[in-house]
Amino acid sequence: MTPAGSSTVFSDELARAADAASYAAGGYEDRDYRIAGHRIRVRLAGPPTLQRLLSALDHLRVAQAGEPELVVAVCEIDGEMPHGPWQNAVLAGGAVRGDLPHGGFFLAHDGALTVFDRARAAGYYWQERGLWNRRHPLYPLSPILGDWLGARGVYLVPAAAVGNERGSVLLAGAPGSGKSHAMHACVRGGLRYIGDDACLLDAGETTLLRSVYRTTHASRRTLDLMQHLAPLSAGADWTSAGGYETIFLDDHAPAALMTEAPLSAIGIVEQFSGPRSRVRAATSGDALAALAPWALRNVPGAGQPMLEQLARVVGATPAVHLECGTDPAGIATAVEGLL
Amino acid sequence: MSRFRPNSPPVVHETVGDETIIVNLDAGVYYALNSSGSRLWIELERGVQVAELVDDVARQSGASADEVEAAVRAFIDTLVAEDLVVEAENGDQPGAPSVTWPTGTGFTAPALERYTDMQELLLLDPIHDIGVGGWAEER
Repeated sequence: MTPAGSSTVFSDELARAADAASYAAGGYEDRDYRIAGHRIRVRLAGPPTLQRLLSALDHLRVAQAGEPELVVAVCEIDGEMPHGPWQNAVLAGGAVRGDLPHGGFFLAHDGALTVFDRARAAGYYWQERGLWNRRHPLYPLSPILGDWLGARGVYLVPAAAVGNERGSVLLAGAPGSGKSHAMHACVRGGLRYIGDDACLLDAGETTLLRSVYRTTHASRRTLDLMQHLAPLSAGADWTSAGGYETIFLDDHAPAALMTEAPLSAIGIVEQFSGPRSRVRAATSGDALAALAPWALRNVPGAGQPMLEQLARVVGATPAVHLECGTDPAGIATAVEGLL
Repeated sequence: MSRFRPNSPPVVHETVGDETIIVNLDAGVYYALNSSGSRLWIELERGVQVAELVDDVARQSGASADEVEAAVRAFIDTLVAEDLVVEAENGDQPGAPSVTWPTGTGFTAPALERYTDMQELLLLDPIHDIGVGGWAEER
């Protein structure tokens, strides 16, 4: 496998390498998911470590039927990763990202490699044997889903979402702004969650928020203020580098999770030092600034078309600054008022 | 200083309402323009000559041409310093001013708000983009 080789030959070789990994693992275990209305197949070649990585998608799993629209092979590998142009880069750290000339991308990061061949709708995720990637436990699918769904008008956005039978509110903001905290407060107050770290913004005729991962996260502050969450933690393996506990909330309260709802409003989450929460008007520009830069950063190759679509949705959706006080009940009340 | 265009890629931009959001995807820095800045941005993107732009804004707003020119030049200097615009090439089509400015209320100076929180995260967890130079041509 040579960096200087044709990229289509390279894709063929990746497919063969994935097949070889699956042979070594005793064959693929195929799992089908319905994500934002699309049938997506994950071909799993590896031990329980990899299966755990996919548990965040369990709620979207469906029985196998028919041909999938997108196939992603998820493999562990002993020894060297498949060779590619990323090995030419001299790195101080972090990820290496690049485009495939015939459409798609590669992303090498923390002992893992993601490749997406857009023309073949084929994705690959390789991981060094035994690696448990605490920094990015959802890494296998996010870049691929972001790219593939984005081409279909469904955008993977790093925001939380809550709702009820009337609609949903997208909780946007920079990392650390308190989106997860607000989401947990809303669920405690009787609303349901669609996503925490990420959700899908389906920019169809009616804009929908759709679920992608069922995992939620809680900071130390959240656990202090909502002590019922502490016993629900998935454990140290799932604790992020930033100290956030992972909680599979729907394992403990299945009704807390909903898979989609029409978008009613955007709340720009901000911390407020007092006990009470309050809502004040935001402009579309405020909402776009709170959402779009982070969304663009997370999807390889995202650019002007995605920004234009996000702006179109944001421009048609009421937006507020959601100043979250220390009393969780007040946060839920404020958000419910937007539905 | 004649004409400018957005430095795209890596710069992406979109106007919603009377605000513009600009993101430099390479630097991880994003910006918000106020209403005046958005109007100027739209005109620059259309390839309007700076001198023509200054005349048009001064005429519509009732402000003095000197005041408008100083503000527009300072604004463009900032955009250039932030790598958000570059000088347009000769081949780019020039455009005519098309934006309506508030009349009789004077000229509000353009303002650019700069946000670096995403850049700070990128520095902690950098992503190195590499080109496709390693690939041979498709056969």
